[in-house]
Amino acid sequence: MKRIFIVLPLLVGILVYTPIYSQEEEEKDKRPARPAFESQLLIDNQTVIIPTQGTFEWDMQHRFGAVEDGIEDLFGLYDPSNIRMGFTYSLLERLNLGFGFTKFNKFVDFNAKYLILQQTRSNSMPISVAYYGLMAIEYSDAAKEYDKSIDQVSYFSQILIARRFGAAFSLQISPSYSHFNAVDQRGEDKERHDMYGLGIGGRYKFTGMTSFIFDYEMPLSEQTGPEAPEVQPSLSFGVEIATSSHAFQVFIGNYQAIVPQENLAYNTNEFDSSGIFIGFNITRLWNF
Amino acid sequence: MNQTNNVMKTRLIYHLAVVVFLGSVLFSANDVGPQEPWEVPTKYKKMKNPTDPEVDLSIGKQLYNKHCKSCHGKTGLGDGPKAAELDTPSGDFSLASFQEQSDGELYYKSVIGRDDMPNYEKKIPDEEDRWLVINYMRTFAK
Repeated sequence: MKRIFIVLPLLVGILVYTPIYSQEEEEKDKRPARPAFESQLLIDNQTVIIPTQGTFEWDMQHRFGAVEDGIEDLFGLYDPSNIRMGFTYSLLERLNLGFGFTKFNKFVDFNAKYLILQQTRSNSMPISVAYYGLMAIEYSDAAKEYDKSIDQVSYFSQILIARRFGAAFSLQISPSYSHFNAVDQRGEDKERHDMYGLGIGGRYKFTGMTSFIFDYEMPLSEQTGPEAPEVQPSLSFGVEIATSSHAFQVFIGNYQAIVPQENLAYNTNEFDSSGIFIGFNITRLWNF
Repeated sequence: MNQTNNVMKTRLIYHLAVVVFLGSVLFSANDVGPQEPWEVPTKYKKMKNPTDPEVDLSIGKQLYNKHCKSCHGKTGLGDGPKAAELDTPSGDFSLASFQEQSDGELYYKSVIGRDDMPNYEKKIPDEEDRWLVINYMRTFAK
């Protein structure tokens, strides 16, 4: 946990003080910088992007099974997969509200994102900062047996700090805090209510529509409990193709839960063949 | 006997319906007429392009590829992979008759749109970016 006090200021410093090398240098240009990312999703994370006011977005997130059995189950494609269907609406220019349904553990989530600071072209504001909050309610058979229904609820809060360094390269760091209302009913290896995490992600655009994308999620807390295994960080990378109304992301990584606090608090998949999953995200936009 | 006649009648009607349906699909697919003339409001005709057409062409190209290429084609010939699905031809940007239009007219047609040509005010919210796309479309002139 102490690592965050060293790592976080260092990373924010890099974002803020690295000079922009290929962006407009007009001095008093207060216009917002062009978008740092092509969509609201960056593999297993959010981005600082909020679509134009009045935009409705449909997110289809899919994680296949582990690739470990190779051709036998077509690298996890024939295994049970996790799916999230999410929907968001940009109510204001800087505010986005959404909800979603996730297959594993039957989660229903409600989320909100607010853009606090926006990077400007003149660099008078060098970064974009957004807050993302998500509340998930678990409706699995086990969760329905919890003593109180409020015990089925968990929360995820995140600050997204991003910088567009130029037309091609953008970087984002995202410290997060997760809270679980009830942990004692979730098994002996899951006894921690509060978990902290740090994400680092980015994209490098190598053609007008195609980018290399990556995301690294680092848990900063450890689970407590008599049988608590070590919570594993996640590394994922892939390709994003963006069109006028869609973004397609295909990637590999070792997160399968999709709901962010589940990943950060309980992921035990390591980045090896038994813990790597092929996944994809598709976003579709409608403007109203 | 009557029953056999009824069955044959039903089959005949069914086959006729299939032929009519397939025929209508076939002919409607080929029914791509010429473009209706555009009525561009004076306000747009007189609009001045505030950008330097030589600057940031690469950004214009990126935006064109993202938003326009699928219908209008890589070089603006109207031969993108989705062009065949349109009810109206998407135009040939390399023609002199296209290029002789004012920047404001192209702005109206590209950003405001009509029918098959969607509105792009929300997809390309930045005013400068819209002009950069127009500047890039100018490079298609033969």
